[in-house]
Amino acid sequence: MARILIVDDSMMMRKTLRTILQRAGHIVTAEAANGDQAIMYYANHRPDLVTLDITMPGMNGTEVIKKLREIDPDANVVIVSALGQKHIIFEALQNGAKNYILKPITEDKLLAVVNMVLTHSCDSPTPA
Amino acid sequence: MRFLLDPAVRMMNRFKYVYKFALIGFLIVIQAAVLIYLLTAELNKNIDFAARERLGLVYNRTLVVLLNEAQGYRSLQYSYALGNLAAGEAAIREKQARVDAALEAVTAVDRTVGQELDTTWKLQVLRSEWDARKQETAQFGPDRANVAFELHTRWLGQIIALMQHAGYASNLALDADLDTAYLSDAVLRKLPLLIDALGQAEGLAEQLTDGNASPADKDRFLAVAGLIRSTLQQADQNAQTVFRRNERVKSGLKGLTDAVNDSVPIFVWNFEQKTDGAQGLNIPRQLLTGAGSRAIAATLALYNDELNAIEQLIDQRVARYSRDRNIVAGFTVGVLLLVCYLFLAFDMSVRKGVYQLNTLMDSAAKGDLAARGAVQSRDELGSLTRSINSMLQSLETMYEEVRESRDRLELLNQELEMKVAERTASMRNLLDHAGQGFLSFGEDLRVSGEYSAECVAIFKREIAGTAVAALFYPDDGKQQTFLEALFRKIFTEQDALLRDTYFTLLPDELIIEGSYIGVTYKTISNPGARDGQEIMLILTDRTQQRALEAEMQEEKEVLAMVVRVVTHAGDFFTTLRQYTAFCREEIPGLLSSASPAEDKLATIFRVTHTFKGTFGQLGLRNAVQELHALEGFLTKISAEGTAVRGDDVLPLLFAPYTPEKMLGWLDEDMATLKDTLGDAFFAQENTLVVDGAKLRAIEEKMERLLAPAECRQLIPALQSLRYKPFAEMLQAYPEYVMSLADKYGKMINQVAVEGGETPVDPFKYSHFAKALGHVFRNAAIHGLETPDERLAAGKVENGSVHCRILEQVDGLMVIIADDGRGIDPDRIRAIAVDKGICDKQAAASLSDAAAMELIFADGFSGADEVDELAGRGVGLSAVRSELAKLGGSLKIDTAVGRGTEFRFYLPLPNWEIPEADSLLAVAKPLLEAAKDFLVRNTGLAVGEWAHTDSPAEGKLPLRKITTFVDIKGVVSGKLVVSADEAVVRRLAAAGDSAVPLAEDKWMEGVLAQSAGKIITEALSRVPRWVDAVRAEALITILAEDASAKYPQAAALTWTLAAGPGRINLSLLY
Repeated sequence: MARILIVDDSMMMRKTLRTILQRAGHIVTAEAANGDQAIMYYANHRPDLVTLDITMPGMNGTEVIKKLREIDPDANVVIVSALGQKHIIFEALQNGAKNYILKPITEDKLLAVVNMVLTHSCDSPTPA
Repeated sequence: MRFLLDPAVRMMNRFKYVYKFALIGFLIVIQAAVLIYLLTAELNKNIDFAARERLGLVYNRTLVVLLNEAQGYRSLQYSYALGNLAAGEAAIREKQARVDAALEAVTAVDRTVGQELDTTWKLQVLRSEWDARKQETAQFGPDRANVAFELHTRWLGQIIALMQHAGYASNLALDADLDTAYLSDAVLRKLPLLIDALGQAEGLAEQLTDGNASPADKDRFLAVAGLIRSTLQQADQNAQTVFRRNERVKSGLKGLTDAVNDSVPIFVWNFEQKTDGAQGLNIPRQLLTGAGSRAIAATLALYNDELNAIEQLIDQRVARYSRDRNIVAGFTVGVLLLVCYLFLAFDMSVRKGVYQLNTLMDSAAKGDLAARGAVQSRDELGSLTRSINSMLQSLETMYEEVRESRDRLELLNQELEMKVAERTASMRNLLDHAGQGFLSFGEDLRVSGEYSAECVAIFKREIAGTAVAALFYPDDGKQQTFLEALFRKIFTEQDALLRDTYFTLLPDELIIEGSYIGVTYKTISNPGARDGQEIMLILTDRTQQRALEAEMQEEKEVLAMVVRVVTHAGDFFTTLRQYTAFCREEIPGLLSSASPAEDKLATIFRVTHTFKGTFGQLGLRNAVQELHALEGFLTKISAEGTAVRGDDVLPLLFAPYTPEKMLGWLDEDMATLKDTLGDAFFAQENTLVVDGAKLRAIEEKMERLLAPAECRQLIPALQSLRYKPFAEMLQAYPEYVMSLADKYGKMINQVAVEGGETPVDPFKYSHFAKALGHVFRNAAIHGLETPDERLAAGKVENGSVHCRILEQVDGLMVIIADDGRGIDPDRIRAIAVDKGICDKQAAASLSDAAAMELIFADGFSGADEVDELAGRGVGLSAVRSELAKLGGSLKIDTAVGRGTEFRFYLPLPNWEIPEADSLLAVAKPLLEAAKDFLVRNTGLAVGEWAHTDSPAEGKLPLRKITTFVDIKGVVSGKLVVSADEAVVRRLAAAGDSAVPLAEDKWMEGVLAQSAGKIITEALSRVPRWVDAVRAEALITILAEDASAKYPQAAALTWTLAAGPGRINLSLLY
C-alpha cells in the first residue's frame, strides 16, 4: 500500500494507471501532467513511488529523474515507455530510474514492476 | 610439590644431556671427596694421637731404668752413709756411673722428643739435682744418712714427676681407650711409686735390726709398708680391670702380675715383721734384702711388660685406625669410582639412546621411514624406542597404504580424466548438435575461446575473440555502442534488481546473416574468468519457426479473407467493380481533368484510402499493401511542393501506375480466393456459388488453426452460408412417398414437411436424413392400407403421412407419422423368431414396447424387404445406427388399426448453443470446484449446492464479504462469490496469508484469493477453456446487508451451507 505519484501527459494513460494502482490497494496521491508539476509535488509530498512517462512535452523523463534524485537520492521512479525506446530507457535507468514498463500497459505488468520496486526499496537499507 | 621442582626442571630443560649428567656427576664427586677428606682427617688425627703416646712410652722406658738405678743408688748410698758398705766408695762410684749412664740414655731420648714433650727443662733440673746429690755423697755420715735418703727420695719423686709429665705431654695419661688408660695409670703412677716405695723399704731395711727400731722409725717403716701395700693394691686393681676386658693383655701380663703379687707382699710382710721385731720371726737381713730386690725386679719387669703391652695396644690401635682409614678411603674411592663408572654408563646409555632417537627422528623427518632404532635398554628409553619403532612401522605401513591408494587414485584419476574428457567431448558434441549456439564473454565483451559449433553455423565464421556487439549488429555502430554500454552496466551494476532490468533491455531476437536468431542471456560464474562473472548467450535459429509462424499467419489471413469475401460477397463484388472503374476510368479521367493538381491528389488519396480500408476489411492483404505504398507515394509527392504538382508533371508521375498494374495488385489475392473457393465463385458475379465441401474444408482448417475466440467470430458467418434448414434435407421425401403410394396402389393425401428451419450442418445430418427414407418408405408401403382395407376398417380412402420438425432448446424433434394399420407386436415377435433374432420363448416374454424395439434390430430388415407378408420393420436398423452417431434417440408410438408415429430426437452441437448457455456451462465445474475447495480448505461440513431464485429488479443480495470476478474470452460474464464471515475466517485459518493487514482488508484478500483459486481449478476442468477464458478479479468488498445491481440479462445463484456459514455463487450474464 504505497503512495504513488503518476506523471504522464496523457490523461487517458493517467486514468488507466490510477485505476489499476488503486485497485491493487495503492494510494494515488497525485497526478502530474509534466515534469515541473511532478518535481514540485515530489518535493512537498515525497511519495513512495513515481510512475514517469519518459517522453513528455517540456522536460523529458531523464531530466525529471535527475531533478527528483536531487531532491531524494532514493526516489523510486518507474519509467513508462513506448516500445522501441530502449536507448532512452537505458539512459533513464543509468540516471537512477528503478525499473520500466513498456506500453501497452497491462495490470499484471504494471503491478509486478511496481511491487518489485517497492519490495526492493524496503529490503535495501536507506543510508541515513 | 611440583612448583618446588620447577626451577630445577627449568634449569635441566636448558641443558643438553651431556651437561645434565656432568652437573649431577660433579656434585656427587664433590660431596664424596669432602666426606672422604673429613673421615681420613679424623682417622689421621687419631693415628697422630696414638703416635704421640709412643713418644711417652719411649721416654718412660728410659726413665724407669733411671728410676731403678736411682733407687738402687739411694739404698747403696744409704748403706754407705751408715757405714755398712763393704765395697765402699768403689761400689758407690760404679753405681753413680750406672745412674749417669741411665741419665745419659734419658737425655739421648730427650734430645729427640724433648721438644715435643716439653721435658727438657725438667730433665735439666733432674740432672742438676743428681749432680748435687753426687757432690753430697761424701758429706753424709751415718748421722745424716737419713737426710741423704730423704734427698734421694725427693729426687726419685722428681723422676716420677717427670714420668708423669711425659705421660701427660704425650697424651698417654689422656688415652680414651680404657685398657690403655688403666695401664698408663699403672705405668705412670702406681708402679713407679711401688718401685720407689719398695726401694725405700729395701733401703731402710739396711739399718733395721730386729726390734731395734725407734718408734718414729717404726711408724715411718710401717707407713712405707702401708704405701707399698696400697700402691700394690691399686696397681693390681688397674691390672685386674684391664685383664677383665682384654684377654690378650691378661695372658701376657698375668705371670708377671702374679709374681709381683707374690713377691711384694712377702717382702712387705717380712719388712713389717722385721720392723715389728717383737712378734715377728727373726728374719735375716739378707733374706729381707733379697725379697726386696726380687719384688723390685718383679715390679720392674711388670712395668716394662706393661709398657710393652701399652705399646702393643697403641700399635694395634694405630694399625686399626690405618686399616679403617684405608678401608674408608678405599671403599669410598671404590664406590665413587663405581658410581662414576655407572654414571658414565648411564650417561652413555641415555645419551646414546637419546641421540639414537634424535638421529632416528631426523632421518624419519627426512623421509627415511625404514630406519629403526636398536633397543639397547629395557628402560623407558627402550620402550620409547620400541614405540617409535612401531610408530615408524605403522607410519611406513600407512605410507605404503597411502602410496598404494595414491597410485590407485592416480589410476582412478586418469580413468576419471579420460572419462571427463570423454564426457566433455560428448557434452561438447551435445552442445554442438543441440541446434543452439552457446557462447560466453566476460567484461572485455569479447567471445571467450569456448563456443559451440552451432555458433559457427549462425555467424558463418569462427568467432573467438570477436566483440559481441559487432557480432550482433555488424553494420550498426550506434546499436553496437548501446549494446556495449548496456553489457558494461550489467557487469558493473551491484543492484541485482536493476541488473535484471538492464537484462530486459537486451535484444531477444536478431537478424544475423539473414536468419532470425533468438537470444537468451544468462549470467554464469566462470572460475576461469578474471572476476568470475561471464554472460552466456544461447542462440537459437528461429528462422524456420518464424517462417512457420509467418506461414500460419498467412494461412490465417487467407482464411479470414476467404470468409469475409464469402460472407460479404456482395460488398466484395461491388468493391471489385468500383476499383476496376477507379483504375481504368477515374484516375485517367482525373489526371486529364482541369482541376488543380492538389485536388486531384487529394481525391486520388481519399479514394485510395477508402479502397485500402475496404480491401482491408475484406482481408485482401496484398492489395492493401500495394495501396498503402501508393498512399506513401501520394503523401511524398504532396509534400514535395508545387513544382511536382504541375499539371503536366502529375500524369508523368503516375505513368508507372497503369490501370493494368493497379488491377494486377489484386491478382494474388484473387488467385488465392479462386484456389480456395473454386472458379465457379467468380463465374456469376451476383450469385454466390460455393461448393459446400469447399466451405466445410475451410471450416475445418479454421478450427484447426484459429483460437476459439477467433472461431467464434468467423465460423458462424461461414456456417450460415453452408448450413441448411433440416427440412430442406427432407424435401425430396413427400414426392417419394406419394410416388411409392401410387406404385403400391395406395391413395394418399398431399405429404408435406413442416417446420425444421433451423440451419444444421448438412454433412453431419445428411446420412441420417437419407436413412429416414426407410421410415418414409415403410410408412408408404407397409403402414398405409389399400383403399379397400381402409374403407373396410371404416377409414377414409386416402391415407396420410405427416412429417413435422419441432425445434427444441438443444435439438430437433423429427416426427414421422402415418394413420395406417399400425404395428402388431405379435407379428413382430413372430418375424423375430422366424429371422432367428431370438427364440420363441424369449420373444414371448418381451413386453409390447420391448418387442417393438426388435424392428430396429440388425437382420430384421434385409433381403425380404419387398416381402409383402413380412409387414413393417425393414431397414430401420440403419436409421438407428445413424441416429446413434448423432447422439439422438427415438420413440415409437403405434396402435393396431390406428397408425404409427416415430419421434426422432436430434441434439444440436455446441456452436449452435446461444452464448448465454456457454457461461452456464461454466457453472457446473465452478460449483464442483468451489465445493471441493471448501471441503479441502475449511474442514467444515459442506452441504450440497442449492439453486436459489434471484429476486426480481436486478438486485443480487450479498453476504458479508463478496468478491466480483470478470470472466472474459469464449464465454464472458461476471462471477460473484459471496460468503459469511465465519466461512472466510476458516479459509483464512487454512491459508498462508500472513500479511499483517487491517482485518477487513485481510478477509477481503482471503476471499479474493480463494475465488481466484476456485476459478483456476474450475477452468482447468474444462480443457478447451484453459487458454480461451480469462478471469480477472475486479473488486472485493466487505459490507453488511449489501446487494449488487446487475444490468445484465440474467443472474443465477447457488447457495451452499458450510459449517456455521453459507457461501453464495452467482453468475451474471
